[in-house]
Amino acid sequence: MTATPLGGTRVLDFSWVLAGPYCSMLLAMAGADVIRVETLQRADFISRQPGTAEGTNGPLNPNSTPRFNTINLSKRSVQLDLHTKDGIQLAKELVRLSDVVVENYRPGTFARLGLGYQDLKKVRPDIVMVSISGMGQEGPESQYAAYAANFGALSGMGYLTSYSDGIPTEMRGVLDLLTGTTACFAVLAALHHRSVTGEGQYLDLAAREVISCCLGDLFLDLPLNDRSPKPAGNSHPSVAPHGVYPCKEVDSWVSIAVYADEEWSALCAAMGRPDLLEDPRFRDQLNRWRHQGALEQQISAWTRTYSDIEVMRLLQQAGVAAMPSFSSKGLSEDLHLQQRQIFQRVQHPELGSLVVLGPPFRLVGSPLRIASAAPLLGEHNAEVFGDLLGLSQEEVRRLGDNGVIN
Amino acid sequence: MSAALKDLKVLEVCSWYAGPYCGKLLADMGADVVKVEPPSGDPARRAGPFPKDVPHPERSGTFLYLNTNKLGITLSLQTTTGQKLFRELAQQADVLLEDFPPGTLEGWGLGYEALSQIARRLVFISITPFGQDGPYRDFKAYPLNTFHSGGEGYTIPGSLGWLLYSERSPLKAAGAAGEYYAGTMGAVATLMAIAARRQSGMGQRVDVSKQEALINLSRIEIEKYFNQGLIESRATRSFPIGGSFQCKDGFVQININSDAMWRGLVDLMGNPQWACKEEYAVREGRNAAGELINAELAQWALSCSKHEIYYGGQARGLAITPYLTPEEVYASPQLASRSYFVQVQHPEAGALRMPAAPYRLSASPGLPRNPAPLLGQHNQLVFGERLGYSAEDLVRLRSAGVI
Repeated sequence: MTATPLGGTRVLDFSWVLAGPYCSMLLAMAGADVIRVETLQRADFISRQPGTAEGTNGPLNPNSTPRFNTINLSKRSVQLDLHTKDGIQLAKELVRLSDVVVENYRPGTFARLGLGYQDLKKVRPDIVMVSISGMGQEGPESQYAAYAANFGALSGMGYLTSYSDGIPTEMRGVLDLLTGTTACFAVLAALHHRSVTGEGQYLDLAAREVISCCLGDLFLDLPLNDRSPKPAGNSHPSVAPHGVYPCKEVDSWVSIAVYADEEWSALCAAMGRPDLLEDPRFRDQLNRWRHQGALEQQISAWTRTYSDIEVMRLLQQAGVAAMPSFSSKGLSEDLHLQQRQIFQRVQHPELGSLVVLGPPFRLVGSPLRIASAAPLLGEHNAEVFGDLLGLSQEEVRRLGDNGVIN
Repeated sequence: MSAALKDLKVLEVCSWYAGPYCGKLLADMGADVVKVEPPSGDPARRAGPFPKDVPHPERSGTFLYLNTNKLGITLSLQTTTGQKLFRELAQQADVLLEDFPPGTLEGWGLGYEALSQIARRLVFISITPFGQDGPYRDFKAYPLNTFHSGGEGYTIPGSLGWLLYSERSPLKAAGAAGEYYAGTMGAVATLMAIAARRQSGMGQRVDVSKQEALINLSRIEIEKYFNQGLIESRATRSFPIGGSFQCKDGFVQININSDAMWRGLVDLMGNPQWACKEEYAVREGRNAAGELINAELAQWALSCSKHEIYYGGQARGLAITPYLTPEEVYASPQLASRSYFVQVQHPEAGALRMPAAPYRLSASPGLPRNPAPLLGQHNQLVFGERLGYSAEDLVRLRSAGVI
């Protein structure tokens, strides 16, 4: 067995909502000591409060959501009111003992608190600091407000994710977590650079830019042909069948893609439709693509008579690419995922036993792991301020009374 | 200033999107990435967009975007000589990135067990649809199938898209987005394994399942089933108010999360009488009248242009944004001010403006400086200078179909 990938690395996490917390959680699963710095004055209520994100008012209990839990696993939490002088001082003391700082406040906010990169560099010259925002730290739109659906819209992803005759799609939280993942890669690269040169640095991530990078192949139609790509639904520019077809149960679907002629023959055989092989409309890839509407009807008529899993099994056995469009329930019942043990249970002191997804990939020699449920707000005040910073119990109590640890 | 990963040597044997995007993230960050293609080339070379839609293996937009800053060599891994050369390359590498169906490299004597014997510091990453074990290990999946196996597709399109097209099928995200997501996850896994090696001196095996990468990004939605019994679908995704709305010239996304934002929106609309109702001042009142409010908002939005609403809304602190077409993304003043697009000059395809990078690093900036390689462009450099084969050897390898 080799080492924990990030054993000995400390991350100070000032982030909230989704992108920043997911970035630091990936680091925590790899063994970094991630300390969330929060305050009851501005707790991460979007995540910590039940229902807020969905638009309803819940009771103000900062520890009560599975949503907060699942992107803050394996972290510690301390409280600091960053609008107090002592709060800022203590934050800097913690920075001095840290390798990475993560934040995703509105650009400029953190610097106005006295915690900008230039400030932190004075305290810890080789600090790696990452700021995550919707638009980036600079530029005419840097102060603009945006959530996942907004950067989805600005990136081109919303427009291009659509039926060919449809309307743009309101994208959701996946884009936040993608941004967090990308930020994690940038942090790891900066830590690598630091291990070679001793030099820290500042990282600026804009969610809309992260997402647009994932459309690069489509975008190249602009420089190559001066043509702006259009939405194409599930279809492919030259291949058919290539779609999602209805199955027996309500709102259940299976994706099928056929690139090669032998896959087409195998599909027809599996459907018990050798006659389609003789049909001139479907005789080669180009014709199948031209007649994809007719093709879809033929395939749908067959898929409707089976469950999504049955279609998958019948076609995979025949060598045809087919997978259900899995719902969360479908994933929870899936034998492959069960065997890969991707769902785990954690014990949360207030929420009880919760199912969470394990690490997103396997490092066989030094596995990532979930060490604990998400921390309660301020759960680690005593050990971080006491054991790590060396404050006496009395000092910690005084800071609590003064509202600094709050 | 030098790029962050410039001391890392990566051997990439991947095709299409996910593995190559992972390799591109490493290469643009400064790693020395040698891309191994079969003599027929990465099949992505046969994917468009092509100039004037005429297929040409050196002019594929997909390939040109996903392989910047890499060196390109050709090698037939089915031949004994090809396998020998591959072992020599692996001995010089820090990272091997591969995306063959599980078991393929093992079949050629190039699996992890074999290579770790001769290169114990090698980080060996496999990126496959369903991972290296489990009942679906050998299942076939194209990007469409992989995406829909990851859970997000079942929820697309929600909101207005669901209201308009509820009889239609779930959708994948644009293009090959899911493959890029998996490639990004692979890049994180790579650097974590490199970080572990800094401590232990040992390489290791890394198993990236694209499906699991995607599921992880949907973890909040998926876990709701386990912990709250809720199945997220296209139908569950509407906010009580706000969402996407059609304008004169496209669509906007309007998110209203607070009373202050609602007041700003009312102001933006010019304080119309319908919106000034007292009960709408608080969230409960607005949510209760959600459909009514959205119908009014839809009416209003139709009379405006999307940029009017965007700039007017943002001036009032509102999370309102236009749905940009790719052409509009290229024309964005914000992106221009951040030099988000760079020009890469390619000998066959000309000047290509493309996204530079999904981040900016102050001390070790990484950008796509060199174009994607021509097929076999660096055979001489890699086999000749790095492995020490003579010009005659190369001629022999070429005529034997090895390179």
